[in-house]
Amino acid sequence: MFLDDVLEMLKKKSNQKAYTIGEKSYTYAEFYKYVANIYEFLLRENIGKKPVVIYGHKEVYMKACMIASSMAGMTYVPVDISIPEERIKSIIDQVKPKIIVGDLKNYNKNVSKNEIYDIMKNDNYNEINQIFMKQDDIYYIVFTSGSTGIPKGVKITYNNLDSCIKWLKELVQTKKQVILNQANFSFDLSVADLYLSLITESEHYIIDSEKLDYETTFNSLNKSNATIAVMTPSYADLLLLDKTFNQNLMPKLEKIIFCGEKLNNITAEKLYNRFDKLKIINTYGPTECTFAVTSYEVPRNVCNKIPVGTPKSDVEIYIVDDNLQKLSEEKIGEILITGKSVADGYLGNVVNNSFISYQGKNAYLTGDLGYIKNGLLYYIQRKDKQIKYKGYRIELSDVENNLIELKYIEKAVVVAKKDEEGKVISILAFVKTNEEIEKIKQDLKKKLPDYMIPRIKIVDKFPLNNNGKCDEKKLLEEF
Amino acid sequence: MEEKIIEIIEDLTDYKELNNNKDIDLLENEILDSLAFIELIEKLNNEFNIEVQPTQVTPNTWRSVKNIAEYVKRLQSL
Repeated sequence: MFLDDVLEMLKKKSNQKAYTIGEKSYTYAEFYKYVANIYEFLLRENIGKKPVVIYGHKEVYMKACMIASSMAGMTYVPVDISIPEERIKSIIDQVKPKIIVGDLKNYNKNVSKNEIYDIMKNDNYNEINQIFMKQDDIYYIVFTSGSTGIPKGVKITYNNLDSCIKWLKELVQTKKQVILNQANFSFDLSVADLYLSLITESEHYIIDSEKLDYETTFNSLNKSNATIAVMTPSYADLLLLDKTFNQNLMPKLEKIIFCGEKLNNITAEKLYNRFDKLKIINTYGPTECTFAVTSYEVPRNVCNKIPVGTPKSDVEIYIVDDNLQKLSEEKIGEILITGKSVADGYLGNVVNNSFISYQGKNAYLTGDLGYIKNGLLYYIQRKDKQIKYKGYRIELSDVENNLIELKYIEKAVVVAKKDEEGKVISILAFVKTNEEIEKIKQDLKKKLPDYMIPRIKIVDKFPLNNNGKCDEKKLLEEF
Repeated sequence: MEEKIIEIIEDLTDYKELNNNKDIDLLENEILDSLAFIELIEKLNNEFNIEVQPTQVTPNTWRSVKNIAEYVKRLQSL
């Protein structure tokens, strides 16, 4: 299993860079020291091996805590600082941790950032001699948007992640690279760069600059010497706005792994025009199937519709109708995934119809529409009111429920505005209320992360369609 | 110029009071998010026949309509 390989590599205590953020770099020798110290601390303090909540923003202690928890046989739950207070509270209530690492106020189980830095920098540490994580143990829990307004925890096992990492390793087939990170650690897109960097003994290079601070971002892109980057197509679009995002800025960039949302041909074409030696790998998969399950190397001659490709070898993909009957090639239906990537379900007693049994195997019904043509999977869009926005998966009813919970809101309808290609360009909320938009936004921000805050329009009446349902198309026209 | 920029931003976001509130901080008040920003740049490029290079611009430029208008004028005069 991959933790054995990681431990063996870490024990070489090499002076190669393991992790870089801002001006700071840490070697593999230092990283091993951090992991070993935290490992010992957790085995001593976290009796009963409760899940460990890791709170913060991309700092090195977070990654060290992840590996230390795993080796100590404890599940970890990454929580980025961008998650609002009420959502964190719901996560903590569900996880019931004994230890929370990071500066999360108002929780008495908290090990502060300063404390964890003190612990992990001890030079007289003991070697790690045993990996306690077992194949069926829950390796991490990542929370996604739930339709009831309460976030759902997806339980990923060690087996799930091991299979994902083997597949990622085959996709890149190199060692000692510089791997660029864009996503924060509570977004499972980061799983790819967090683990690919370790398993290939690469430097994990963290981009962490203020939004729209192009100068700082481009300086660190340039300094990174990155060879592989993991990002969402939206992030690439943001970088592509500036024509200096090209081979001169990042001469060593060989691969971009895309995941999290639909990659359109214009983005891919622009990238290929600006980078001569670049290979774009498009991937697809829901959080419930461990980062991603299909991949496709986009040819330089970019076609109009870019497929998400073929499944990893231990996974099978079916296109099914509403009665779970398998559909033939080129027929559009729901994407169903079986095999080693399918997670162990949701934390707690969440009612769901997504984790099912299909032909005797554990399966996940994605809620994504797609079709297969010439053996390649194509993703179209979400089936229901769940959408993909800025790489995040959002239940529109989650936004809706959080709006309705505000006492002064009488009614709310949330819809997604899409461009011609079906890509969501904004979330719109139509509400009936006497409050001002600014006040609604402020209150929502206490409950929802930034990417889920809709654009708001106050309306008196909601138009109805022939079925007596709210006519969302008409609402969209009014905006 | 400012009026056109206001029209573009109002069209891209849910903030419809820009005319009465020209000095509002577009970033601080989260009127411009990253997707609106991508669209804004594309619209500025097409509308004013310029080529905005975000790296040549301090992030503060995107804070106000006035700053954006000044930047666009500077690009046009080049």
